[in-house]
Amino acid sequence: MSDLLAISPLIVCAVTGLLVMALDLLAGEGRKGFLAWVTMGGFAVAGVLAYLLWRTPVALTHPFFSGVFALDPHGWFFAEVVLLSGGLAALLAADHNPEQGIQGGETYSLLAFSVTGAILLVVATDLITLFLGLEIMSLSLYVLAASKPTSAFSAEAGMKYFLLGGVASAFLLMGAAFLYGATGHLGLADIVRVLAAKGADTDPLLVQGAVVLLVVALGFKVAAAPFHFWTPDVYEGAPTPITAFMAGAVKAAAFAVLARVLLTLSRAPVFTGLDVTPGDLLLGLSVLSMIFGNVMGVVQTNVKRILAYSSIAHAGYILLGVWATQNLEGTPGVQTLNDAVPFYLLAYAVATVGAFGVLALLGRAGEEDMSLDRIAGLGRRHPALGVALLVSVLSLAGLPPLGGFLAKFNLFRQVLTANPGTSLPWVVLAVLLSVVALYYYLRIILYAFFREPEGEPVPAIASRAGGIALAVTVILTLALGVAPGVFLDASHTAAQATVLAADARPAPAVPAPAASAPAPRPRGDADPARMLRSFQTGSRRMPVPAERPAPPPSRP
Amino acid sequence: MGIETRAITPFLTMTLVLPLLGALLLAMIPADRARAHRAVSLVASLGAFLASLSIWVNFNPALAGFQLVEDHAWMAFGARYTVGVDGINLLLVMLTTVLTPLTILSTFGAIQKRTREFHIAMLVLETSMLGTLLAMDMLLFFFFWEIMLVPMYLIIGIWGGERRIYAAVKFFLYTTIGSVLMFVGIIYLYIQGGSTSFAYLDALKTGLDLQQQFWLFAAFGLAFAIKVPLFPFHTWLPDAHVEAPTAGSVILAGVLLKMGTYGFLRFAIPLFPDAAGTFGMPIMLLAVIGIVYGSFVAWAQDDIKKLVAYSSVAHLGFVMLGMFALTAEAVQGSILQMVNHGVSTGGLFLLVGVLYERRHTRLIAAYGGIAKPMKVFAFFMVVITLSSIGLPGTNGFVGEFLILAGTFREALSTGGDAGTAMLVMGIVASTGVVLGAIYMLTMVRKVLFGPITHAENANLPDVTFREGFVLGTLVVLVFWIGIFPNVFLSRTTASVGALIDTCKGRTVLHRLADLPAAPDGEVYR
Repeated sequence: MSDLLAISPLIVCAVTGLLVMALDLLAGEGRKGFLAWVTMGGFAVAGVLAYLLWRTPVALTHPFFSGVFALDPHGWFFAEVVLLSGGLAALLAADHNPEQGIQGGETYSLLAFSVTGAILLVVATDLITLFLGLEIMSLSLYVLAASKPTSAFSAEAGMKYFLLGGVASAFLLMGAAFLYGATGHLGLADIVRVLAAKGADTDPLLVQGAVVLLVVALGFKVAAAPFHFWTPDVYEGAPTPITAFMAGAVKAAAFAVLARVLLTLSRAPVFTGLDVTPGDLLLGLSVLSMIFGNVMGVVQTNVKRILAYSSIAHAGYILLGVWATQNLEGTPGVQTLNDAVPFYLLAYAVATVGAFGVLALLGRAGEEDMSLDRIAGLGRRHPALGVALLVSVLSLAGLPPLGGFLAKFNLFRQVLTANPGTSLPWVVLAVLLSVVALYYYLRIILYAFFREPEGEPVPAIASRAGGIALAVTVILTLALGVAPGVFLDASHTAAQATVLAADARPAPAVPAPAASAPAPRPRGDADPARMLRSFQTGSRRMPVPAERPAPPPSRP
Repeated sequence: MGIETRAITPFLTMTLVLPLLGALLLAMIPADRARAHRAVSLVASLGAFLASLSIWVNFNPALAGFQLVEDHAWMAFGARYTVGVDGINLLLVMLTTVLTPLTILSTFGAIQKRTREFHIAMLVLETSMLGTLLAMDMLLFFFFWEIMLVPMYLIIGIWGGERRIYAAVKFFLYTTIGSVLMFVGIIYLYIQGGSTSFAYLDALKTGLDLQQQFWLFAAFGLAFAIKVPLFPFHTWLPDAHVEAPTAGSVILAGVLLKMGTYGFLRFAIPLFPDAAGTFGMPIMLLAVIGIVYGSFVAWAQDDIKKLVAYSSVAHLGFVMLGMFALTAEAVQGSILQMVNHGVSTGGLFLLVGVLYERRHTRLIAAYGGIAKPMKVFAFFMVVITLSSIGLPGTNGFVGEFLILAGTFREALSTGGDAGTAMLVMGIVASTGVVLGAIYMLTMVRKVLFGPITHAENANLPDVTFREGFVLGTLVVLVFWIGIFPNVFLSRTTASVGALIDTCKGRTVLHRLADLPAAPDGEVYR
């Protein structure tokens, strides 16, 4: 029973999806708007439950479902970000969808399922659960991206996202298989424990390869360069509320799991003495994303594409934060997530949902062109939308007194604190590139406020639900910038829980031979590793595992 | 330096918050009620002025450190809401609170479209400028420093002239490039000081070796030099000034540019005194180049507003020169000259605005002989021009005299090659005074006197009561500062003295001389 209570937010989200499906059948054509409120209500209940569970330490210590979930502050923090983005996206869709010819109510149920998957993803500590979460989240999104029936762009976006997402999933599975092959376990904590116990006995290449594969798969999901090519097309083609959800929730969830997997695996002693560490990979992705995102956005003329490049650039900043790990309090020598990163993701999610939200409330039936000219005169004709756009875009640009400024400031502060010697040039690069990005953010404001439309101005969709959603983003963006105390604390707690405590149970005093690891090991667990090794080294005989502590065989 | 008195009544916060409250109130008034917008805006800025008067009254000139300090926890990692006033920012705060209501008053005729948004921008701008001046916490300072850009960007971009969009973007990007490096510098300084506090007073105690000081000064200095603007970082200024509406130009020249010079005086020089010594000569050289270059370029302009814009480059060159001479007279003169420049250049922009509203052109050639139809206007223009070129009896004279006197004294007491170089720079700068007289008086002659060459100028209406009130207030300030400069200077003496003592006493070299030799020749931290 307590197991079910502990995952009640997940259950509520899934049930919301089912309920919305049922209600969709009962509701008549053109009266699907209330489904948005039902969805939002379900997410709100889930959010409150998640908060209460977070505040109840008992719920966190008990191992649920054989430990495939970690119901810890890390999971709940990101679950709240996902729920918030999902709820706002649902409200934005309420009047956007009918206007754009998306008549059915399936948007809301798919959104609820996608949120369920994303929450599963952020609480997962086991590679299978993680994969399940990722697929539930992504499959719903593929459909959602293609859900605009009249638009070829939307179909293209869905197809592109599906194909590339499928490849990314394959990478993730392959990485999981490598890890299973190396250790015989799927739980991240178990994997690390076994790797630590076996020491040089495992083939480090398997684990290193697995990390590379996982970074590729998750790098795709967070839209980091060089795996970012889908981002502008999919962001542009998908219905705008869905784009908002993708930019806000999916990025947060993918970063949460990227940080958890990589940081937990980094505790395994297989990365010592390497020329390229997982940290270097992250730094490389970060620099590439910052350069691509900030520079390529300058030449764009479509607001949705500009925001897509902004999303890539922000992925770069966040990766810099993931790279600059911090000490886990109370456990010297263990590195955990930089506590600026969860806050940054929250601030980014709120701002980007706000910016896409304004776009979602613009335009009339069938029109999907979101070029800069289309927002000309927005500030004068629709002052409320104009202010929401101004606040969101300036927050993305990182100007005070908005959440984006504080997030960026806090991120760079913590990156420099964590790694004062090496990180200074990267931080300087990041702030200089953020000036480049400022150019395209200013262009959005410039069109919205300084120009008048050439032809007829674009009408705004009258939407109470959308207005409420935008008001929430504006208020939150201001609150995150001026009074961020609670959010910073929550972010810190979440980050401290990111790396999984493999040492929670007493470690064996003497590193015992691999076979005596506490968990019952599946049959033939070492075989895949050995098979791969012999595959790689041809017919050469491998040293027997018992020869520990011989160094790992050098590659031919 | 330290905290001298804490506030019993939060005058500083009141001054800061009143414009912001006005802006919030404005946001609730419907868009078509232009008269209500103007009234609220004026009342809010006058409220800030009254609150700042109580700062002036409660300010104790004998104290060197910060007074009326308010200090509240803000963020857990060491950023606090700390504001305070001392002899260095007091005059600039007063300048801001005086100039803003006058500017708002001057826009009642000129700004007819989107009045609500305009006045919100003006009031937010006032709060951010005051916050930048009053902040005693580095993060709070940067916070306000960056906020300042947005309303000014909107003011230039929405209510500006033909090429307003280009000018607005250029203004924003230029100033941001400078400030992002300062942003990293502030974080670096925080980490260097033990990652516990962003307080300015703690930052002063941070031990930095010469190399760190060099780079931090470069980061801070670039941000401030662009804002001042110091030659060769001045290219955004003429564009911004020419395209901005009159009110934008007045605030830009009057207050916003002072944030750069103030930043040098408050942060760059006392925080990194050794680097300030290293950079001092090059910066003084650039300042002198700016004086001469700005004067010649101003001379060549046929657009009055451009002429005034380039004269700003020259005038701020004087301010920079005085600051880096780092003697009591020169620094006090610099502070006073910041105020003077705000009054006289602000006044000149207002005068140009008055003309532009009547004739919709700013070309010198379009005027001539308008002293006849516009007698009162001619009086104001002559007085403010004379103050701008520093005629004795006006405010400009006091500032320029103190700066040059201080520079020469420092040059003579330094001696050697450096002294000679400084002496030469002082002499070249003095020619700037003459050049200023030439181009300003030429412009005034062409605009006001001579025969009326354009028929439409013959019947130009003279200044209205409202315009006369705005300009008259500035003229009163011109003579008040010019004849009784001690009212203002005496309030800066203690703080400037302390500043110079800290700078000269805090340098690594001085401390090395005072302390027993450190092992391995290490620098004491």
